[in-house]
Amino acid sequence: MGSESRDLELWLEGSMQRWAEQGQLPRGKSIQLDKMVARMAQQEKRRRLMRAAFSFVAAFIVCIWLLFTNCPVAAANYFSGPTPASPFDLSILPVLISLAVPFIVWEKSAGHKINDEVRYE
Amino acid sequence: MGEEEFLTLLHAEEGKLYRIALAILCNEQDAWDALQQATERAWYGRGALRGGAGAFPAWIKKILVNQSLNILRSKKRITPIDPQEMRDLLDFPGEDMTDMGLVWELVWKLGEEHRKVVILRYLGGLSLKEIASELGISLGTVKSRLNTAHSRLREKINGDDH
Repeated sequence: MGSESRDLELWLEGSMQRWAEQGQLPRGKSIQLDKMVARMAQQEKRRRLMRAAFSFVAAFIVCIWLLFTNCPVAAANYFSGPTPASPFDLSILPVLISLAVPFIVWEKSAGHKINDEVRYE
Repeated sequence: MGEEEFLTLLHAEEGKLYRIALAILCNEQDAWDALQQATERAWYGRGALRGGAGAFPAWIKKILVNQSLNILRSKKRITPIDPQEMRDLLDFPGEDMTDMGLVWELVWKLGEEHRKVVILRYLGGLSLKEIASELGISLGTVKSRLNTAHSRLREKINGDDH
């Protein structure tokens, strides 16, 4: 029974797999799959962009909030400009750049680690 | 994996995947639904694919079989389809009686329960345990159905020889 049964199994498996491999998806359906993947790719890009933008804005607000609550002089300077008594000049551009650069680097590396929702061993 | 690479890999497999879904579900619309769902899950889950492009065929086939089984479960029971209609749908080469044609002739003559086990085992590549779990039957029943299917196939092959 052993080897005869194994032969039958191999024959069945081989024949069925060959039959499946010769299958062709109708052209119209194949195009539909193309469009579907393109749509998903577009959505994914948009989602990633939105996530990056919202995260960046949130990080920026938190930093400004931390700065202003911990350094009233900086807050006063920001709203009224530097005075001889407090000569610090808080410019928003360097803060933005110093936040944006590490954020973009982080976002790019994190992008590769996303999407683990389907796991098939 | 980018869109282009994903599509290249998908196009190489789509015909095969569609046939597998057709064989499991015996219905064109359901097979198409299963293929679309599998494509969607594969796209969003591609980050979990280990082994690169070489592992893609087996990986997406597994997803497709799971999606087909989900559809099968949600429908509870397949409406029996006319054998000739199924023959046209699956496009199996019955006339020239090659191995492929012979296999399908024989498999199609098995009852639905036995046929389902044979298809999931040899076309879907599921283990006996997985088949038991997916169909909600015991491992013993799967083995028994498979043995019965083997016996019937052997009888038919021997019968054809005489």
